[in-house]
Amino acid sequence: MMFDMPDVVKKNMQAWFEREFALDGVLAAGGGVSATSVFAGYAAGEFVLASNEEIWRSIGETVQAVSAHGAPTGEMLWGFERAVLCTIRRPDGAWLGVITEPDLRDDSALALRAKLDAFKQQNFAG
Amino acid sequence: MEGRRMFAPLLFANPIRTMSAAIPNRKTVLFVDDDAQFLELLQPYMERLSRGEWEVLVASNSGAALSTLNSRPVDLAVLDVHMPVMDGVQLLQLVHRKHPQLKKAVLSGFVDEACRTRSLISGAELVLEKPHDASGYEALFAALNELLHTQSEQGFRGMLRKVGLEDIIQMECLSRHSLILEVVGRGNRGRLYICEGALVHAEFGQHSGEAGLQHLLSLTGGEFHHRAYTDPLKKTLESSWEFLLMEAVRQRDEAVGAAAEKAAGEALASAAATPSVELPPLPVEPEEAPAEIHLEEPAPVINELVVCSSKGELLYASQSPDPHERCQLCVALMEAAARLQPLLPLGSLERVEFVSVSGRMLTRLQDGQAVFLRANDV
Repeated sequence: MMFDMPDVVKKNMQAWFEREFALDGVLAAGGGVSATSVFAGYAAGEFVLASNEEIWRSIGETVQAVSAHGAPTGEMLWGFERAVLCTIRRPDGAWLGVITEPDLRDDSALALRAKLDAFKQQNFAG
Repeated sequence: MEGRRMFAPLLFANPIRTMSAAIPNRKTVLFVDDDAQFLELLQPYMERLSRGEWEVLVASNSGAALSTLNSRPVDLAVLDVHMPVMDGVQLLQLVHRKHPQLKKAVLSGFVDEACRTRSLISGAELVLEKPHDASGYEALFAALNELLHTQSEQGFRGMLRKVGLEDIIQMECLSRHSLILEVVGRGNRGRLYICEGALVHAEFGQHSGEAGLQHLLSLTGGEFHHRAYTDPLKKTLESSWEFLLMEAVRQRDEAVGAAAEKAAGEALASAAATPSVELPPLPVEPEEAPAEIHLEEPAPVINELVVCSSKGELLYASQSPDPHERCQLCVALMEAAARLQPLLPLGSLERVEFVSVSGRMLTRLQDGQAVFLRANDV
């Protein structure tokens, strides 16, 4: 686990999230360089609540708690009544959460899939 | 070459040439041979045998043959393989590259196995020896005439794997073809009528119209054949092919999802009435989809199933290597739900799915219980 990632990584990640996740159907996105060092990366107008970092901290801690029980938490889909939360956790400890509408259009889902795959390989240190 | 000498007395003035233009569906046949005399004899004789249905062209070298082929439509080219400069096989290869749809035959004074093989590989559909008498030329005419009237098989033949029927239908519709797609699968026979790229009628077993199309598209394997288009007795499809295909595929996908949901629901129901004991393994056969659509393959195979209460009590387990650890995971997820639900205005947490390359784990939270499923990826 990486608890002392430089601030620049976190800033780069946050900028990347703000830029990349303003997608149709995406309500909010956030993440962190560890379960506790978090940021709110993007929140659609109708979902300003998700700009609260505490929400993302709670999500990060939840994913960490679940992983302690042996489940593969590399990629998880949390199906709520009115939305879906997708969380991805990289081996270096960086993670993201994206909240979307429950039924994404095909093109939106494909665009989001591309961003999620990019996150898994993105170098935020540079 | 002696054969043509015997043939000479049969020649006579060709009266057909002058009236032949009026004959419909006339075929044009080009004979290529370096022996000009042979061609001179052959040309009128073949036209006579054809009763004017052939227009016979001749060329005594490769250049003249190519020039003729480039300047006008020809139905069949008959080449001698033994020619100077460019032998017949080379000419055959060149012609085959430039005119792949043209029917080609080889006619030679001596045909051995090597020549036959080279010719067939190079695009010839018939390899014939030059006849030595009149009856031989009649046989030659009959063989070439048969080849001329054999339906050309255009396009490619082969096997495509992982191609769904919807892909084939889409190709036919996009190409605006008219045909009947006859499909055999699951012991039933179905037909899809496509008229100028529009789906006009579908039938499969007892079903017709959109239901018939759905049943056709629910097939995961089988055979199909193209048939010439004829109007169906009744046209049962009216919407655009794009809509019909999308709708049928959507309903098929929903049936697959329903099969998985049904498996989880049944496990949950049985768990409510089941004491906490380790039960025998579940059969691993795919669950059958509900409603009318029956699926042969796509339902997921469940490799592990655990049901527990909100307090982590094991209610049911099957094929689980460590059911108590799974119970702890379910409790962690229920605690996560309790933590996240007040923070996020998203409603209750109903399911959590773990996606990995080896398969999927799904935990469904419902009525104070959790059902954990591990299934192969479908």
